[in-house]
Amino acid sequence: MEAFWSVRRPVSALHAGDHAWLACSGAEEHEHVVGAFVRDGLLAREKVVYVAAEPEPRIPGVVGTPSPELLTVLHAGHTGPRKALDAVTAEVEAAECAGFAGVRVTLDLTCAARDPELTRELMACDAALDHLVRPSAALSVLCRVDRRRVPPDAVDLLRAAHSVHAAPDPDFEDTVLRIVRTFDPRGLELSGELDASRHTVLDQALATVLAHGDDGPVHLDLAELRFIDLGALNMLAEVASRRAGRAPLVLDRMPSQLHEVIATVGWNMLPGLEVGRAAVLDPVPRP
Amino acid sequence: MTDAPRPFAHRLLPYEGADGLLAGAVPFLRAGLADGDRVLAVTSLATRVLLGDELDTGAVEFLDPAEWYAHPARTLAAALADADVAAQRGGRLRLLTEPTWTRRSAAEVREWQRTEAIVNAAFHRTGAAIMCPYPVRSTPAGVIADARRTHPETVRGDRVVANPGYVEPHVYNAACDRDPLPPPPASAETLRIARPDLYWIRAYVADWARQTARLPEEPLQRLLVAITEIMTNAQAHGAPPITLRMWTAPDAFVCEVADGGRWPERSWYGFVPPPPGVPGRLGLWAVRLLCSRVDIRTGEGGTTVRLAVDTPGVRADAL
Repeated sequence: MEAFWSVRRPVSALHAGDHAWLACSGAEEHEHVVGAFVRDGLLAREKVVYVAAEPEPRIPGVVGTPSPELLTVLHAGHTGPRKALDAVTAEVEAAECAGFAGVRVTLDLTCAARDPELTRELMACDAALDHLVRPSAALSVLCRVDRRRVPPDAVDLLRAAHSVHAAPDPDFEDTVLRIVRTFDPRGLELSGELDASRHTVLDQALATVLAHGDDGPVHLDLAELRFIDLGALNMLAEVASRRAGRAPLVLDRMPSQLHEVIATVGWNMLPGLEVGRAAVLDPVPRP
Repeated sequence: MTDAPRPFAHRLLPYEGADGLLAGAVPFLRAGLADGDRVLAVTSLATRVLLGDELDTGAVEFLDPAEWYAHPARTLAAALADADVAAQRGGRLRLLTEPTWTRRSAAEVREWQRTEAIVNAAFHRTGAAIMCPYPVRSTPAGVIADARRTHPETVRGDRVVANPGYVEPHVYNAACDRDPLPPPPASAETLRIARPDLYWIRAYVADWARQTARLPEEPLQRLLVAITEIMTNAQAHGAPPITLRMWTAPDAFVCEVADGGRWPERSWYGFVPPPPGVPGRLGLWAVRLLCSRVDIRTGEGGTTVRLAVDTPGVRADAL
């Protein structure tokens, strides 16, 4: 079934009736987004069904050993989408019978999406799952694939079939500033206004990105940043200089007024910062 | 190459007539060309023609005085950046700058005189060689007298002599700010700040600037960055009460922050840009680049930082 519209929703804002989609760019994004979905479910004492392609997967978002009543791990292996759907349906019915107020299911579709012969079956099962989820007052589903391992046309087909696209939860959000992790490219998306009132949250978010990364470039998407103060520019330049010898800090989609301000004070005062992608009027849709 | 840092020089060339100018400027430029310096000359067209008759000026970069003498802080920052780059490459920047003193307001003259003094502190690290020809006949006597306070040396014929009246730049700078600022107009928009989110201060300034002063977006954005920096400083280092005032002057939008604190003695007040390659130094000097003018007074009665952005041709609604 084709969704004619879609919304991007932070993973913690997913609710019952959502049949959401995530095309992961790698382990870090999987950990961050799927981990939040699992963790929020377990903390709320909802039923969590984690469907993995591989046996004995490492479940993101799990601390310690959750009780098997709360967390069920299904190994779908290469049995095909139909069997996985049957197993999930059975688990959901059992959870509803057991009186869970909420049931969360996350499925790895990577294996099925890689096999062109399974596409019809996969799409049929996904549509069946949609019929199960949409009217439900308890069930939410997060379908996921490893984007690097699935052909682009299969990713497009699956994306179009899901009306909700799961996004990372913001690292920080208030009425003035929002900071969200990005994974492809690695970095942060900054929206709103940034000044000394919120330098510490930028510092923390940058530290998180830098702590987990390799030496590759770190990108800051500034398309929605309406104001940045000199202190925050100093912080960015300091971070860039601490990474001397490694890839630069790249400023993507800088608004023109920020270009103007930096040109006035001089780029030579911000060594290690690089201008990346230009701002565009119609940003390309995110996966 | 391990050259020792070259000695900094900032020389006054008071001259009468073309011969006097050439007698000082030609050897100065020739020495730079011989040494492989980067040689810049900010001169009138007439001087450029005279120089071209005397030496091969193919390697001299001539710049338009009207552009060069547009904004003291920006000119200083740009020239200093060039001097730093030259020094990093083991070379030297050589500047011949012919200031234009006529048709300037007293306030403008004072700012350029101040810049002449600041040059001594700012360029010292670069080993730059700077010569400033002053035409004695067409320059007010007071301006020549002050040039002897802001230039460590004077060129007389082929001799270089120390200026006995040379004043240490901190002292000269402080003297420039001896007079109190003119009081804000009674109609100035006044807001007592009680440590709210900086976001709200910006929103307030932006609203007022757009609606009452019709400030265009580009200077408004520069002003917002500047006022945020000044307000951040006042909240971090100043003392209450903090007061924000805004008003429109002819062809300018003015915004000032007053607080009860006092700045330490011998501050450069952002006049001297930091050395290159050290991140994290954007601050008050960057505010000077962003605004058309920045005036600071600090003392027993507290501190006032007054920012102005020029708005030529913009008519304010009120005031």
